[in-house]
Amino acid sequence: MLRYKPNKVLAPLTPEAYQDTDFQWELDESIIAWDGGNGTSSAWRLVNGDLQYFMLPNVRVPVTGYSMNNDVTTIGLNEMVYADVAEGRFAIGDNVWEVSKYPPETFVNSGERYGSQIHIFMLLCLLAAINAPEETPLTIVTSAPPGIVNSVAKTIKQNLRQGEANDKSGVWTIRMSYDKKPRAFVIGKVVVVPEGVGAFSAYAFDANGDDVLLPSGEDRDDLLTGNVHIHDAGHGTYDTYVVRNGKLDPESMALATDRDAGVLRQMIEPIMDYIRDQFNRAGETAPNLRPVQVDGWLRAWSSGGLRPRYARVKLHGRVLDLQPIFELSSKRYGRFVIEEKLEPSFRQGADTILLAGGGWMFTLPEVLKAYPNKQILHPDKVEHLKGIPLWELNAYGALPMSASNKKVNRKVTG
Amino acid sequence: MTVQERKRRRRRPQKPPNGQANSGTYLLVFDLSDDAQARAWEVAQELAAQRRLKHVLVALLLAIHTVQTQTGKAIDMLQFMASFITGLVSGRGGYVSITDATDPEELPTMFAGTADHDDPLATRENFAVGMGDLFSDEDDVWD
Repeated sequence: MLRYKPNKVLAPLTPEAYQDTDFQWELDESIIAWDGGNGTSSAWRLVNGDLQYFMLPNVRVPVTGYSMNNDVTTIGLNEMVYADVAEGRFAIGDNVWEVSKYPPETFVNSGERYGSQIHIFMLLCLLAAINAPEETPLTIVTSAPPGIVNSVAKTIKQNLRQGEANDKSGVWTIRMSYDKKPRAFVIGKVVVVPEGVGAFSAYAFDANGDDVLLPSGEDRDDLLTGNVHIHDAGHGTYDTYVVRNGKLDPESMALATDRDAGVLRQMIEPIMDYIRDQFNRAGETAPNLRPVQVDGWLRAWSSGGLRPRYARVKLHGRVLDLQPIFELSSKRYGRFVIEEKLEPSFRQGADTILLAGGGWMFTLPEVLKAYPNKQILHPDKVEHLKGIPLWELNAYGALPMSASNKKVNRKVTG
Repeated sequence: MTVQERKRRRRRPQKPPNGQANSGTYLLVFDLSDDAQARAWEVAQELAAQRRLKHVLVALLLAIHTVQTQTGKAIDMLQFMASFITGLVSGRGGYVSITDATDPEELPTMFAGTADHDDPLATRENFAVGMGDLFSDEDDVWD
């Protein structure tokens, strides 16, 4: 039976922290960093110095979960994980749309999705996947696009704190298909910050909230001083705003969110159009494609190093070689980002462009080629972020942000 | 024209005046007294030993053809070769090669950041403090 287990990453710490005999972790196991994005949903936490995380595509499908008993036959046993919650039983994970007669449910590119049933459902699945504690009230640190965070923060907090019985208890239950009994999580506190803040923190602090300096190697002192432009290329939105010497520029945040510049509009939809068109030209009925499906293919291609064998997919009984259209879409998206996003940033005086979000997995080579002499900050350039994927920077970064916030406020009040 | 000249002309096909070849062959002669050509000769020998000399030359010529087809104009060979090799070695394919014919519009942006840089540690403290006390006990969720 398929069972979810958290992925583990060595916690990035400064060398001083390793040598400190009085070292203590700032965050306990009940602090959960959660990025409930349009494309994927991720949760991270620190457990005894180990970073643990899990990621799921933002989709669920109603299922019966029926399968034959092992004593009868193994036919009907499928590799599917489902979860029982108050609203019913839903299959989760990649390719779940193939296991049910019902259409997959997703909720993207809308302010109403924050704090919605499916938004909370994805969090509960992730809490189960990372084995979050049940006996302790959890603190959830999450984010929303900067352009709408003001209007959705309270909804997220209230809806999570209500609990499934709507009694302000914060208690939610979920039973995974591999669990014998339901898990009950208590949401005790919810912190909401703008997307990108986590990513900045990931570069600025280690997992325990200690400062990490990023010397530029040239005449500039540090890559995070001066005008830092955050460019978060997500699935649904592309967010850009300015942090000036560590201070958020509120004016830039008002216009930060672009719903037409994420991976969905710039890559997934053109790829879907191309595939439908190719089927039509072949005299065949165009398949009923879903964005989440193409997103899954693109993630697999990206994880496979953008190589051709990871661009071959099966659809409607045909094998499709999508390498050319994936490459073309990546190049076009790269050109779009350079012309529409990065050039304006440099014209406005950006010292450093700080990258976050899965969109860069497809465009980074093009961008680095276009700007050999500019400061473009991505995890591979920073020792303490090796092993943290670009698309996880906001989720992971909420942990260093929380740790540094606790430290600095203890210093201020202490 | 003498008889001997007429015989020589019959034996050899007439050479076009512009350096092109008539058939599918082209004879390359390396001037080994020239340092650059001598080094090129050595590389050509290495590639020939691996039976890859023709592939390399064909690929290079094909690249020129592709660029000319895509841009619709004849390219400056000196500039092309410089950009091609530099890009190959350094991976910096996007860097504009500047010649006296370069349009200023094609130049990368001249802005390279700002002069106002705070202390790196102060920058990080500004950021952490700017968030407020995220974990305070105050609970305003139901207000």
